[in-house]
Amino acid sequence: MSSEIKADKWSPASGTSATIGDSGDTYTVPSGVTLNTSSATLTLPSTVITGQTEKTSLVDADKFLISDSAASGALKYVQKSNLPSGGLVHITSQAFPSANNFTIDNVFSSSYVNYFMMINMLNMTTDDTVDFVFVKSGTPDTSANYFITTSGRDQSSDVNDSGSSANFGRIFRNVDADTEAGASGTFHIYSPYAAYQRKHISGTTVTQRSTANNLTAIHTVSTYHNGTTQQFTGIKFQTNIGHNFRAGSVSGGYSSVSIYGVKNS
Amino acid sequence: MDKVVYNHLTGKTETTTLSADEQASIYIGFESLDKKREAYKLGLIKEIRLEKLMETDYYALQDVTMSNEMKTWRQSLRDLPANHTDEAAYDALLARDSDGNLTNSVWSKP
Repeated sequence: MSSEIKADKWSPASGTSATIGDSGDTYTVPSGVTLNTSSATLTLPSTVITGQTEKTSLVDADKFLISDSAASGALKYVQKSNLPSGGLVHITSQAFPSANNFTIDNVFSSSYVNYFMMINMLNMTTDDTVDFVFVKSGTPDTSANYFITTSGRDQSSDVNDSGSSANFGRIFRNVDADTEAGASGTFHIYSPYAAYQRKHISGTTVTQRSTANNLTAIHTVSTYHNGTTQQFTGIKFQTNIGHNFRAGSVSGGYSSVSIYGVKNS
Repeated sequence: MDKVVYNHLTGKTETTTLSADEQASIYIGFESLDKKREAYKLGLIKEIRLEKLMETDYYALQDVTMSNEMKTWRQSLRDLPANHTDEAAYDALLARDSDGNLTNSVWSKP
């Protein structure tokens, strides 16, 4: 070190502003030194955020800087794990195959209690009704423990279904085969994996029964109840009288299904 | 018939042939899939029949006269299951045109 300035205070030689060094210079505040700007106005470069390396996947231990309104704006941090996070967590989106059945397994687990399912424009090769059964580790449960109610109306009449002690639940009632037709619906699946005897599915569906007309709106309710608890891991869709689904496309927005976990907080 | 299973843990979709038991599970409660299909179609026919009968129920009111043609037509609707007993006959009754309208003359009101 060629020289050292020792002074109790720096002030501008004239006026109210002064400059430290020149462009390209680097001044280092060594370890152990406190640079206290707590009462000053500190202007940071606009690149203080965008100049950093981006992180694309947050983990619970990541931290955000905040001004604490309950502590006179004191700077504090919040961990990502403490951010409000309730909502839908996407689990999977799948296209229906050209088959009369489609199982999606290992989507229900202890991670979530309830689930949300959206079926988008499911087309059929021949008119049919779409049913479901729960699946437990690859094995469909076709026991006579399903109870069904569908209730709705098309352009001219009421359309309803009901069934007790059935071997399946119901998703869509009487879907027309025309390529311009199809069925869509949103469903809530309650406690499929919870160790509880009863499982429920409720949903609202729209079914187009004929080309370009005859829309049918149906509210679907299916319950499952068994004398013992069942922890189901998946769901199997099956047509009622064996006709195939039309093969779908997730990106194309038809004959596809998406399942989400409902995260409470 | 094939069975299509997507396993979310592996991210793979596998297609295998349905076993005899799995095929039979499709028509639980029926002698065969054909019989279940017949019952399904007969159910649709009965729904349509009910709709047609309800549309003309008011002819049976005391202050309305129901023509003999209407009586005959309504009776023919009631007799549909007795007079149509196989899937081909059901398909003929359920046939629709490209606009979704039923084409079998049995549904036409006199």
